Amino acid sequence: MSHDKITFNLDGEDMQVDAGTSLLDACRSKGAQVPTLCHEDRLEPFGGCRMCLVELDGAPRPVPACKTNASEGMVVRSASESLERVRGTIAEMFMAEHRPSQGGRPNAMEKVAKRFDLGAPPIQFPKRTEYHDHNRFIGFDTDACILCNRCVRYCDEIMQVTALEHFGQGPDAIVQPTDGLSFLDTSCELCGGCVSSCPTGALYEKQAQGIEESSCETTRTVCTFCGVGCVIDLNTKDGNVVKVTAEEGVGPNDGHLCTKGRFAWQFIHHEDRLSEPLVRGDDGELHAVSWEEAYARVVEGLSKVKQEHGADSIGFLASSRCTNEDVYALQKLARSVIGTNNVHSCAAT
Amino acid sequence: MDIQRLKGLRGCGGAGFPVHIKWQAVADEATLEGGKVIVCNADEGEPGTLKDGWLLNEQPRRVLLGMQRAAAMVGAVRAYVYLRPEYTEQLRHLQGAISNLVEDGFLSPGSGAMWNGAGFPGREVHRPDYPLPPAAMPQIAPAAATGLPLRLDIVLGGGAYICGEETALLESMEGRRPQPRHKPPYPTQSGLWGLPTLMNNVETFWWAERILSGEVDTPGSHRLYSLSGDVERPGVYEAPVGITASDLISQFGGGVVNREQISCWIPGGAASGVLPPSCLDTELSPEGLKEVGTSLGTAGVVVYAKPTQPVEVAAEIMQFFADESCSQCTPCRLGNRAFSDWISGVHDWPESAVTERWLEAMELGSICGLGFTAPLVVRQMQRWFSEAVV
Amino acid sequence: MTNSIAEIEDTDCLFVIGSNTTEAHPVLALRMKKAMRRGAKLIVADPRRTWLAQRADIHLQLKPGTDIPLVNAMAHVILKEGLQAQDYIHNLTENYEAFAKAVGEWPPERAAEICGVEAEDIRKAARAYATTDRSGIYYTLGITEHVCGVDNVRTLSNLALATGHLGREAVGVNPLRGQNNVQGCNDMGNNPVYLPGYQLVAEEENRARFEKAWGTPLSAEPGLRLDQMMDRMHTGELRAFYVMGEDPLISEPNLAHVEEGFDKVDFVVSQDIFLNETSRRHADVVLPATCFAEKDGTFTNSERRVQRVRKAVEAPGSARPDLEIITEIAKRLGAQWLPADPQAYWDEVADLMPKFFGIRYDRIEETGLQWPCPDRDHPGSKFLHEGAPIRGKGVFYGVDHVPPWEEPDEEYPFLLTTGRTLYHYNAATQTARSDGLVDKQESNFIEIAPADARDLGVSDGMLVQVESRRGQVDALAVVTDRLSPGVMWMPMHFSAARANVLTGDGRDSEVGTPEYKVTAVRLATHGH
Ligand code: SF4
Ligand code: SF4
Ligand code: SF4
Ligand code: FES
Repeated sequence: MSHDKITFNLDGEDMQVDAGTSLLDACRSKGAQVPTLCHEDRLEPFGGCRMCLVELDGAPRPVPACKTNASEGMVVRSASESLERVRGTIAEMFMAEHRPSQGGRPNAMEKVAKRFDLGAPPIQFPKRTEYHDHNRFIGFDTDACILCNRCVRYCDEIMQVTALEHFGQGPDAIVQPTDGLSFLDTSCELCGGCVSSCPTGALYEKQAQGIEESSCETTRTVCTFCGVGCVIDLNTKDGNVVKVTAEEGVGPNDGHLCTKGRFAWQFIHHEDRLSEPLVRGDDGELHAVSWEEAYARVVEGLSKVKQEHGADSIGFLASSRCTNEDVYALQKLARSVIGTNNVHSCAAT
Repeated sequence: MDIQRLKGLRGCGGAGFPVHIKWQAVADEATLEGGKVIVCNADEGEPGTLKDGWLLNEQPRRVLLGMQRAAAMVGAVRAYVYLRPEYTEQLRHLQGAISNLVEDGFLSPGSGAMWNGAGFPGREVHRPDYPLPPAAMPQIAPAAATGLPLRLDIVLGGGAYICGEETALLESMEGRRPQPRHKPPYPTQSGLWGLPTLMNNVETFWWAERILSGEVDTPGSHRLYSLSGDVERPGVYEAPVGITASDLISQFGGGVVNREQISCWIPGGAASGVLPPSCLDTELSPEGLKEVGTSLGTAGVVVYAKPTQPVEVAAEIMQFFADESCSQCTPCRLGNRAFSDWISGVHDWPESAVTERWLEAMELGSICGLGFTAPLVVRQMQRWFSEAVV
Repeated sequence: MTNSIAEIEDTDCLFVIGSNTTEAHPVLALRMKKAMRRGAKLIVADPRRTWLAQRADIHLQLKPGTDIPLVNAMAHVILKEGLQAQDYIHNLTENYEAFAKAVGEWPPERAAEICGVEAEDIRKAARAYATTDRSGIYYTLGITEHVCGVDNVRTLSNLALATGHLGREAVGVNPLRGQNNVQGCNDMGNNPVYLPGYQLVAEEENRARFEKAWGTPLSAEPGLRLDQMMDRMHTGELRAFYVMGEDPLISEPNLAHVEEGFDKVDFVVSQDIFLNETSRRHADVVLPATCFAEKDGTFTNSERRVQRVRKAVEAPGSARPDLEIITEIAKRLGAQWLPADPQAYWDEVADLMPKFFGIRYDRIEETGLQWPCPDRDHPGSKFLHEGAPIRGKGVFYGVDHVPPWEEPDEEYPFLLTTGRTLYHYNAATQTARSDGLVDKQESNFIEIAPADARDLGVSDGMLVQVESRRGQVDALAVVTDRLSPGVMWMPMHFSAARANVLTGDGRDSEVGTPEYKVTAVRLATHGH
């Protein structure tokens, strides 16, 4: 099926695409700029925000490019004066309710509004009820929400735990954790995927609240919490990790993370971290010493045991959390310097 | 072919689509595993419209027979009545009619099962406690086992106006938020559980039955008008298409006290907008109403006497649409809300260029009929009562 | 894993055994969820009704420790009904007869009795697995942490060989690694019998290669496994212990025994980022190391993909990277090593491992590479055994049931099994320092089936004492129908109530992996 080719006309040019290609993807592949808000490549098309409307010959009104697949013989225009006006007006409608969040996450809504060079909206809708939750990871700024449903769909389609809902209808419609509960009391697994999917920053990370994502440096590395090996970006500010993000299309995780990978990084800067070598004194307690002294004790201790009892009386245990280079060095130490094959690691899986 | 006998009959749910074309479309679809489906849309929710509820009380058997004929003609094996949840009396009549038809050998045994369609989370629905929608398409006994092909069940609606929109209705039946689907595909191609689905309004099936049984030989010549508001005898009346509003009011509704007292009126349900008394002699037909900027809709005629102001009526309608928007698409969710605020004076009107753009965005950008026809109410106000709006 | 993580979403039949994937490997589970959404069939074999089990087409709720009968019976059905891949078996495998004979002993009815599942479900599972073209097996510690861990894995590989579900996309036998670099740690030779790259230390030719590169003679004597080291502590044969980033006093079974052993060791070095039970009580020297965010290097994930780890922040105080510490110690012990530059060490070891030769830092800047990757132009291997099993022929094993080391009896009537939860990781040294996670899961708990709870007079939320022959811990009771009566479940994360105080000495006879998954226990309520 997907190998069938479709020929259709986009902006005056014939185009060939695979059957099942959305008009949005076709437009993008041609470089046509179609604004979007509710669309996310990892989610099924929704077609609710109506920013991506394009004109289709024979259709009674414009169609959403994200939700419409190309079909044989279609004639499509991705831009026109009327489209520009309608899209701009829809952006204006959004801005009548959207109040940007100070959570620090990027805001696609503001960017779209800028693109249309909108003035003050002709009406300002009242503020929504604030949402307070004692979970420590996910904050929700209700007034920034544009009801694009990306978070809800992420939770339904990707996580499949349905911990968020599009509640009510009409002017009272909101998005919220199921039944208006705390994220801690729903089926939520605190994966933060909804946060990563939110285009407006209405959902944000409490641990990084107020820190502009754009002002952070990122370092690409790998999560250490299980064997999946998710590729993550450590966002740092003033030398500290402030949050973890993941980029779509990268690594085995394709931008997804679990609660540990996304949120459990505090241990990095935790006050309990060991910051100096310790040596056990005659009092039986551990005392801080210089590296020089610590190294000397290690060398002395290992040499003594080796001398008295032989190399095979020394054992090494490597952690499967250290890097390849670290563990390579450890077994090399055991084998080539101490002279024993007594080297193992904890779990066999 | 029998279906052609319906030529002339138009759907009575509001959109007025030619019935024979729809039936033929479903008849022409291939039969999938699970069979084709007939749905009777009995989620009558358009303000000013009463006729479906009246029919289900008075002549439920004929409506069901219309569905049964449709099933036979398009090759459907399952049928559902999606009933407005408040219609409890109608429910009783329907259930009675179904068991009679089972006894009489028109419907397969087991017919008459019930479930509750999904509504909007957070919106209370007053209805009896029936099971939730099935997680997947329910299996029905094959005709070979029952001796009769058609199984007919009842679904109680989700209790929102938009549940009457055909694709939102399907979503509700399948247990999801009743949000209209994007079309195409149309329900005739892929409807309930992806099966080809023929959906018509209660009145439409009733007319179809009367036409196909030979009782009526001029399809589309008459309609059931719901007459309400400030008339002497509100009610449901069968009258010719093309009758004027004045005649309808005087001949059937017992008249209004004084024609000079009429403030405004609605020709075809709330969505058809408000007209001035000067249009009372317009013919109630698609063509006649087109001339005054609107349509026959559900043929729900509502008469308002003074001191009610037209702008109050329009404001109420816009508020209704704003509240009933499923909130899936932006132009409808926020556009109706803005116009409701403007027209009722909660917010000041912006300049007319802005309202024009907002109306256009609703008309061109909405997903379903609620969003793209609501601007008509505003446009009619601009045309007939310009002093009250911008 | 024989196959890749991304391929899981294209799999049409997922056989998940001994893996609570949505909690232990949540992001990998997303691929399973995607496959399910597409309509893939799901078979789950697990004593608990996990998230996946609840949604499975077939949930085989077997008694812990009865995997071999179950899988053998599936194979029995496959052979009996002629669902095997005849050509594959004929051309690409050996020792089929032994396998056929062994599984011949296991008609589903016999297995059903031992496993506590329906024979018909075993049949259905076997058929679904065998007749779907893209069927994959996924397992974790629920398979390996048994006295018969190796045999468990063999039965699974038998199943894949018999049906030819190997050597293609979206199939395979896929162990999901628990810790982030288990794969790398094994690859790098942290094993008493293997040099880096799975080269047997006992083989002269292998040693010669490393002796040349390292410039020192190497011992041919295979080393001790961790469990053997623990035993030799008791006998006084192991006198010094160097532990990097682990805490055996939490992670090893039968902790009382471990503790005694440590008491007898002369010299213990612990190199870690936090103080832990082992270092607090036994270390003579504690060396502060850097965590992953503070160093460069590589990790290798479950799908054999070598990926770059990069330094993002400075280490606290004077903490130093592990590599630097080890290099310094080596130098002080008289060795001539390269300066502590991760890339140089990677190059050194990649030169020595033919399967990794093509993987170099410059090639994995953007995207990691999956070994085998024998040369610098090789694109890496998405799946193994393409065309034919790597060693030429896939070997079947005739495997028979090995009962658990300890089974419930009158005194200790319940079977306790342990596992991971979503919100914590191993001994929770890192996750317990995240308040947000602790909010979700504060303390130790034990899951109990409703019927058992009723019999014992235990209610939800009650503090109970869990006792085995070796020790006792406190836990809050969680009464849940996720379990069958007779079976209880406890997480392995909470240091205040170490589950391993309870676990026994059962180990796999070949690789020494402890039997964490089956322990006989009894329950006492407090104040009685
Ligand atoms: S954090 Fe994850 S599980 Fe929780 S609501 Fe968001 S998407 Fe759903
Ligand atoms: S919270 Fe964000 S993702 Fe969710 S609906 Fe609102 S704007 Fe969209
Ligand atoms: S037009 Fe209104 S009712 Fe229709 S889909 Fe859009 S929001 Fe929903
Ligand atoms: S992006 Fe297409 S409708 Fe929202």
